[in-house]
Amino acid sequence: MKRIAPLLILTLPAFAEAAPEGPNPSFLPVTEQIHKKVTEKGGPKTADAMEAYTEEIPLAENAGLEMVPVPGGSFTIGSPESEEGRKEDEGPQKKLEIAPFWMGKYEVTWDLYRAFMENGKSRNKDGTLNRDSDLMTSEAPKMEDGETLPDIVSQPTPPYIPMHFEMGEGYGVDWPAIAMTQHAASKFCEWLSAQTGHYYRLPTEAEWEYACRAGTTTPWSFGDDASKLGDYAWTMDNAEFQYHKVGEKKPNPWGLYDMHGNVAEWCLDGYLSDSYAKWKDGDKNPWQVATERYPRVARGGHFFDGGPETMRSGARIASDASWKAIDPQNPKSIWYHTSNLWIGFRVVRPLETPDVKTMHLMWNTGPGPTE
Amino acid sequence: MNIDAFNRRKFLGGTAATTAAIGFPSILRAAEDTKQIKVGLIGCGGRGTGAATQALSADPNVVLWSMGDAFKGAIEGSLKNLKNFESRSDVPASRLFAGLDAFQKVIDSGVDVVLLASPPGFRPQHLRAAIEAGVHVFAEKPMAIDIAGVKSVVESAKLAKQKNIAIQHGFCWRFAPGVRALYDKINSGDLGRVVSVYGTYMGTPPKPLQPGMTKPEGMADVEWQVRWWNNFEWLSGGPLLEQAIHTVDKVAWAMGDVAPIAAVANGGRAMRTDPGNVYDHYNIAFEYPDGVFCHVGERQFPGCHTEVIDRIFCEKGTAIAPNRPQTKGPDNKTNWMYRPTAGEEQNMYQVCHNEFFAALRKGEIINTGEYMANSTMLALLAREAAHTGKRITWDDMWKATQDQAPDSLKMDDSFPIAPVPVPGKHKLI
Repeated sequence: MKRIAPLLILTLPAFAEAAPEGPNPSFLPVTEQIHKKVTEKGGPKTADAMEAYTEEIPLAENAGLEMVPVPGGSFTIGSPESEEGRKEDEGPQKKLEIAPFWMGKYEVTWDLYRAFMENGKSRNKDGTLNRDSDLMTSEAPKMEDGETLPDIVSQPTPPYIPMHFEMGEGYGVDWPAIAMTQHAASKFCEWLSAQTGHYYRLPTEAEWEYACRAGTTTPWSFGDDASKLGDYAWTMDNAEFQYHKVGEKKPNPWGLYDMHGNVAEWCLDGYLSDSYAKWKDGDKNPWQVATERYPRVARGGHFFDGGPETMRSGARIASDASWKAIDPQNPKSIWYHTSNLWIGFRVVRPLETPDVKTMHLMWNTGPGPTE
Repeated sequence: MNIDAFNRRKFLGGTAATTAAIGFPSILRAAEDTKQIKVGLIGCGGRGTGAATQALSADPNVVLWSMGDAFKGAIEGSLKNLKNFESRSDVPASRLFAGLDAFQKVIDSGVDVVLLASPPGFRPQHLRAAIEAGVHVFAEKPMAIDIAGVKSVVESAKLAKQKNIAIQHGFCWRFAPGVRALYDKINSGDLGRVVSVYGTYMGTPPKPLQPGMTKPEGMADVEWQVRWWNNFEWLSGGPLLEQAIHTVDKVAWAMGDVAPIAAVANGGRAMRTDPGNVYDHYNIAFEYPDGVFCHVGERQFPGCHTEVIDRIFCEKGTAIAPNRPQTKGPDNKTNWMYRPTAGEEQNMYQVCHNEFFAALRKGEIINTGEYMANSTMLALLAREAAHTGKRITWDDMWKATQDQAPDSLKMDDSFPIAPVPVPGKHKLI
């Protein structure tokens, strides 16, 4: 497999041409089919026409995915050196331009994610349908009799144990989905896109922080008073070591819930301690393409561990191989972080649909299933 | 050893005399820390390869010496996945063995320790061969899938004791620090007497055959079934043995590993329509001395409530495991919870191997064979109570002789799928 060059920085609109061949090329024809579907379905052409909407997900018993429009604009990523609890990797601050997108009002919940996770099919380790009795070999993602596009989109192998770890009400409605890898979260987005005809993906780190700050520059989107955190976030102080239903706390100024606390959220980017040093003021939609499995970026803090400073808009989390520590298999699953009970995600839908290669790269981040 | 000896009726009868041949396991004669410990892997799937990773991580002077699997492709995949340990591997092609007799070749290749990770139907035979050869063993759970298999394991454990050979088990939760801390509270009597237990293993089918899926053209029955071993009782024992045995084992643990009196159970094949023959759900009541009843609920259904939880009801509160181990007081409020310091979490699979190899280094012989056999028999008691529809006692089980092994086993044998047991008709033999 051709590896993408490390430390590649891409910016819009130039990255439309610059996108390199992504990993997992055998899935490119699938991306092409979904891209065609998205292009044909279309959507609003301008930011002014963007409205909040609820996407019904047919394969999740029509559970709704509420999406909120986030206007384009500019913001300063990172935190000032004076901010209490700030870490070195939150700087240097850069002023960035962000194109409009919709973002999930809530973290993705089990009622949506479970339908993706439990497809009832016999799957190979890489998620392709197992048609040859051998779990280790990848079969070409081609539709056969009676199968649909979402059927063949790479979905996880079934987990050995329920992944909610007895928090909440099992895979109950409105409880956040957790413990998936960034790869799995991206593939969920692909599966969502294949059935809805709208293009969904993980937010870039810049998009995530832009949406979290929602026009603010304070440590948290509600200001700088840590004593108010409990009104907005499930943290180690109030969560009793478990996640909580999404949307129970106050939203941020743009109507997004649980951006601070509850579960941490995957971003699309690979993690570099000096990511921002590689960007320039005025860069548009920068994105640190992930080329290695670890580390990647998560944001927002979580219920499991850490003080108020870990919930700040600028705080960054780097993923780690230990998140799979109790996976009994070797190779460890590419789908589950069985030792991380606090990682989840939310989706975005950009106003502008990218070209097919970029779409493919954004769903197939870093080393493919053959890592 | 002849592969036809897979039949355990013959196996048990034919080996009574072999105990005379007592060899000295090699490690015990030179326990210095730097002496190489040569490890053989038998069963090169994901779990086996994981176990090899843990063995190699447990001690700097462990080397991977030999590998065997029914299928060549599994060995190749395993080698690829162990590439981080290349410097600790000494596995020339001459010590890689494919086929149903590969286990014996691995055992005979000069190893000190074997890791047994083939489908559990093979376990008693592989365990016996290792013990006879004087090789220390790590054995994955369960230890057998039928009664003849368990009895064979008991014999092997005794033989191992005579020969000073170690047997470590893969009931992994017994090595999880938090779960250990919780069960210590139960077994030490901190929470008072255990009044009852309700344990569940309710998940989804891990590797389902698809409905209507048939054997590929040109593939023999045995090969097809071994490839899809989870779906066939003679290889996996069914989901209660293969997966939910963790929960059954924790019932035994909560009860101080005393013998039960009997079990009454239900089970069936409600959801599955594939051509395999395993049940997909069980509900069991284990009867223990002093009027204590322990319940286990098992199922592999998609789309239903899922949970894997042990609730141990005690006089002074309730203990909950295995995720986020905690105790609740009579007011149902959590009054203790296990929380490792960040960065100090320990992986239970690794703890198992760390303790095993550390003991070998010290010349201590861990022999958990009898315990492993009992926990496996407890799951079989439950399974057979469900399959027969009868109340079955612990004594009934030890008197029975059930043996699901085919009389001979070759990859290209034809081997029809046994019928699904029907309660009221199915007999415990």
